[in-house]
Amino acid sequence: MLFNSLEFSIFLPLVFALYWLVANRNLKVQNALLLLASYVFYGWWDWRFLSLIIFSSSVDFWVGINLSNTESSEKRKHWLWLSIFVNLGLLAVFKYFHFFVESFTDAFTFFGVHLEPTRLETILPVGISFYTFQTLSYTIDCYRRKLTPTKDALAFFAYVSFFPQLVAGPIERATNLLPQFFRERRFTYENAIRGLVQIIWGLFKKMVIADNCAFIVNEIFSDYSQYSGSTLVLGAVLFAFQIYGDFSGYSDIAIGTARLFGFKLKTNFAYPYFSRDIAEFWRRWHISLSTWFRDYLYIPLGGSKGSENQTIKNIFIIFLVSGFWHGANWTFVFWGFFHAVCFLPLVLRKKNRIHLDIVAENRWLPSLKESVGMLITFTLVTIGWIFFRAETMTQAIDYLSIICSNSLLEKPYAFGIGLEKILLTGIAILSMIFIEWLGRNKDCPILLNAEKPPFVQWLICYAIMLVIFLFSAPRQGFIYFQF
Amino acid sequence: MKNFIVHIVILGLTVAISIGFIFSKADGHADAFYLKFTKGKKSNLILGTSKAAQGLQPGILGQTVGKEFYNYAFALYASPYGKAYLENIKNKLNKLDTNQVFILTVDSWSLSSTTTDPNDSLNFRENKSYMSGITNPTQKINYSYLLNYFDESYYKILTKNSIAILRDDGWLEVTLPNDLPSRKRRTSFTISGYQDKVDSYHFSTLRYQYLLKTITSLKNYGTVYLVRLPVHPTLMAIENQLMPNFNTGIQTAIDWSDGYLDLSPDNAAFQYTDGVHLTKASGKTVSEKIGSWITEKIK
Repeated sequence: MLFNSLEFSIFLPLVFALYWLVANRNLKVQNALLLLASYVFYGWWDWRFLSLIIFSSSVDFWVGINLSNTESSEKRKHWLWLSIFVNLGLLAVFKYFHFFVESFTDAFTFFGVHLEPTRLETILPVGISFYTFQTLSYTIDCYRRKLTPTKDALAFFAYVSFFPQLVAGPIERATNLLPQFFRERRFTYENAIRGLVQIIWGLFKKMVIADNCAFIVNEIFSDYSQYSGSTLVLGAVLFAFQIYGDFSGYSDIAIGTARLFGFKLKTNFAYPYFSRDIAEFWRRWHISLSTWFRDYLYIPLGGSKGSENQTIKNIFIIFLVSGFWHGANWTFVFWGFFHAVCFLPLVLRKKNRIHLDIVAENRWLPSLKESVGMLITFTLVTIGWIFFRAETMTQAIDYLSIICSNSLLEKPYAFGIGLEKILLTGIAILSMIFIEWLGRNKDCPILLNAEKPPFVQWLICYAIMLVIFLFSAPRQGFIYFQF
Repeated sequence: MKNFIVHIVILGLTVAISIGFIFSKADGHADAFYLKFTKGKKSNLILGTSKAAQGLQPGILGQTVGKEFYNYAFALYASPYGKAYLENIKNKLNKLDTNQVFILTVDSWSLSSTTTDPNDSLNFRENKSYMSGITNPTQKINYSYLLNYFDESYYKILTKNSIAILRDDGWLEVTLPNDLPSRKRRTSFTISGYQDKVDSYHFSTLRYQYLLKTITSLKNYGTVYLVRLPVHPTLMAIENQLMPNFNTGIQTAIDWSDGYLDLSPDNAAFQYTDGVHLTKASGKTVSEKIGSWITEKIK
């Protein structure tokens, strides 16, 4: 079920009403309702893959119980490895099998040996990369004794499959989300309106920004060799906003929806295009994934505490794995590599943590230095997105070559896409940037302070809903569903 | 809780009323098809794909033949001959008038299918389009169409599109730059598009059967004329690749109709906006020609 679908617009109020009006004040019933709703939400796409979630949840619940029953470090390690093996095994089969087989046969072909690749007719289950990482965080934290394993199966299963963030994150840590399933949740007007406002802002970013950009981006990328360098720059920049609107929009809807049910999810995007360097970008983009890799991969590897060579190795590992997490394609791996290369100089010069504050805090406009920093960061990130969006490495390199040709100075032109469409998309993007700039110190930029009369907040909701209705493009799926 | 529900219901109602108001403003500027599903039952239908929708002008035909025509032609992906189009025509047709004149435009494309098996009617493209989904094509505000098949952003309802305007008689008036370089550029793009897609189209005997069914069905309400509209000579060559002996291939349909006018020998005599669709001026000429021909036939 997509957040931007008619089904979800019926599903959400129905579950909301049952949750607060029927199951209110009974934690078990609320958790059971959330579990059922989450399975319906997921099963709407393909009910057969529910078995994978149930299997993954069962294994990790069982591992958790066993971790709590033993003090032997040897046995605890075995249980942890079982969880890692099962979860990553599921990913390997469903997401990476073809990639490994094809890369293997390609390598042999390169040396003149032709192998016939074995094929598995598998479909990538939606959200598998998200929920496997979520359950893994549970077993790892239990193993590290940061979390007491739960014996409440209902709460645990509801935690793994919690529908607002099940298929595209944020990837919630058990330490943050699971305890919320044990606490009484009370309805408050302020919380509900915060949730609603964030959902509406997320829908705006998805349906107005991302979907309109997608229309132009798809045309340009599918026929890139026919276009001038300037048109390809336009395509790359619009893709930067498409992926931001798509993914951060999804996160906003997820966080807002969870809030409607009394849950607080972690912030996943913190205005990443206002970053002054790549390190800041990675503290603001897909925060739940980058902190996951930081805590469960980078720090265990030694982080930046070891020698310089060790640090360089660790940075490359974390970025390459992060790229590979996004998809079984060399383009994603290179995207990770590219970011590692951009990130490395900052770490080596110990300048990766100089921008921890909000840009131009308490000021209307950024300084020249901040503006240049933001522009350079955005340019680097956009170059990286070309690899992310391209279907093959060859396509990405061709795309960049055309950008670097003389045609960069020609007037951008895309067949079948009128100037009106491009202008409208541009205005929508500028409006989003303006609103987010004004609200960059808040979780949600259109959320007013509590002292403002609620009427004004409702009026803003109405205005944005009308804008969504009028300017949304024909519906597109969410990009991150494929990961 | 109560406050929140009251406020959200008010918000929902306000948004719904606003949407209803915007929908009520949808007219012939909104898109190329919507208006056709909002008018009541119609007589003297012009049928076919976008070539007919854009090329045949009911006003001109009406002046010549003395009947009030209605252009109920759509687009290749939605209105090739088949079950969906026939059922939709039946829902639109004024069945009280039995002295009507119908113009069915025919070409290779509207009798072909992109499915692997050209007779695999379950997977015909129009099944997923408004042609199949709109069961009531006479509803003043057609919510079903606007919510499910309106392929543009809704702000288009409020702006006045000056390129394509759907007139009250169903004619799609398209105004594009008519200078030779513009037409050449569009034509070359269309030719390359049709060259790319010709291999994926195959003549469908099932679609042909539905053309025959459409003819017999409409003959209960008047006379039926078949017309093959002109196209750019290069596009005609591509069309002939698809069905090399078109006229003999549809001989039964010609026999069952009340007359067949093949305008393809005059392809070079007309101007096209993009090689497929007639310009307004050429459309007027072709409409007059067809009107005179029908008038002769009726005599």
